[in-house]
Amino acid sequence: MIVVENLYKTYPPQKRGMVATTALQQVSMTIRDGEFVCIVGPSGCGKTTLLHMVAGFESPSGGRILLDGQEIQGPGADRAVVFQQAALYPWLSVYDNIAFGLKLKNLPRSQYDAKVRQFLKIMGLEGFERHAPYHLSGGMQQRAAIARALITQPKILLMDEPFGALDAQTRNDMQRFLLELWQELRPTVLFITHDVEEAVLLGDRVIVMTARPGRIARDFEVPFPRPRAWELSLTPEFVAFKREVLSVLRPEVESAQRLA
Amino acid sequence: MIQSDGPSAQPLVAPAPTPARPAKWTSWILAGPAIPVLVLVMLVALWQLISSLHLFPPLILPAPLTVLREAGALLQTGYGGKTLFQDVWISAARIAMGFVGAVLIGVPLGLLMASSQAVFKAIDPILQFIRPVPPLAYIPLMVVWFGIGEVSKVMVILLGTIPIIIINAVSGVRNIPRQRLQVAQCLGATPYQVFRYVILPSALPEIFTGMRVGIGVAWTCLVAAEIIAATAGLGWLVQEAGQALQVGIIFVGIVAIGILGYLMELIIRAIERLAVPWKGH
Repeated sequence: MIVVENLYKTYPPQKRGMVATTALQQVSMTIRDGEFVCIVGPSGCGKTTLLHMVAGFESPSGGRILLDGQEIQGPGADRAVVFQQAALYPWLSVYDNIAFGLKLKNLPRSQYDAKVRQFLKIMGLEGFERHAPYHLSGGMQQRAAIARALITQPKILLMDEPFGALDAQTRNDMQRFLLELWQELRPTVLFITHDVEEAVLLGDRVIVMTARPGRIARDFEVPFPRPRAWELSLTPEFVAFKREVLSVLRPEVESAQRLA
Repeated sequence: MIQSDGPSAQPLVAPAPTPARPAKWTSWILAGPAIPVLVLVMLVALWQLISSLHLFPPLILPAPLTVLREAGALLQTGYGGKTLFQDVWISAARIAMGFVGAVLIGVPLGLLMASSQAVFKAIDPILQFIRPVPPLAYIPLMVVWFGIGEVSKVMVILLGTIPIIIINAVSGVRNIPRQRLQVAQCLGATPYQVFRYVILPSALPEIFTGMRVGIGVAWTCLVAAEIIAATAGLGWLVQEAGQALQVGIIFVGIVAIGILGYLMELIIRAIERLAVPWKGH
């Protein structure tokens, strides 16, 4: 369980005469084990900052984040991160990229080979294991990055606009694929996106954040049963719900644009 | 008159297929060694023409054939008691020692400076001081301290090359995309593992860039040092020949210096291709 309590994040002024920026203000939320939570918000609302603090890359200026009752001290193998860019290591093959987390544990190859092959199969990357990652398409690279994150079986998967750089078709494929994967492995997911449709399709909850300083505008429970198919997004119920989320998000996006 | 684009404007006959790569021979010329060879031949021909016209006395501008004969003589009997191969060998050995020394000291130092603010602050001022001083300025000091033997040459090369190696190693580490490090941290990598499996390979392409620039500078430093104070080596050969007005030998020396410098660059590039095939990705 992730408990975020009254979280603040301020960045000191970058130059003399500038004011400090408050990225996050009074953010509190609870994420249950195995829950899929999507966060949407205007650019610069601090959603990535929030994810970085859960990952342990940054520390809060005020408040705290508890992970099963323990305050987060830094990055750890219990929380895997997938970024917008796949950030695969170009000097390693696809196989070695996926196996990276297991090799760090100094396990002999014989102990993890079957598992890597299983992930290559699930991810549709069979036959590409010896390729250099930069010879793969964007969608395949992102699948390899997800495999690398999930193979060590982290309890929590943190995803920062993971499909944002992909074309619409590939993004749809990846969403379907992620749903199936999550159904099977059931990690806790914190998923950041710009795309309300994506958030509603994937999440158990959709949290809308305000323009900077980021606060929680509204925390929606998504009412649609699982397993969800892509066709769900065509139903009137889906569209109505999406409109409701957008009615909270739009004013925030506009006020963020006025700020910028 | 502008025709309307109606159906009648469409051609009745399908257009002939566009000829496949009409300019095939031009791409062949561009790909092969034809152009550089042609330029070389033309330059030598021009040189032969000028010397045949006797515009300059042969003492100032010897003919290509004379130079070729000089080269043959240099290879067999040598000049000043040493054959061309011996001079090449001596120069190459000095470069190897000075340059390998600079890499062996510079790369770890650069990596250390990039990972520790304290080390960076300690070394950087010295580096910034050494860097703008032309290596030639060190030669008299090195000769006074270490004599005209091997040590002074190696030291000049070391001093001239090491700032380039260090600076590239530092920037190689500094330019690592942060996400590469974060991925490893999330997978539970220890600081040593992050260094060994992420920082080092990430910095390697820039380290090689430093080495490629460095080898050129090292070569320049060496030839300069040999011209000023040495008893052997290609720089010395050129200097000696100049004092004896042996222009043909100067030519041979300069060509040998050029070819060797180019060869060293090629060797580094070959190693680079083997070591960092992912460069640019």
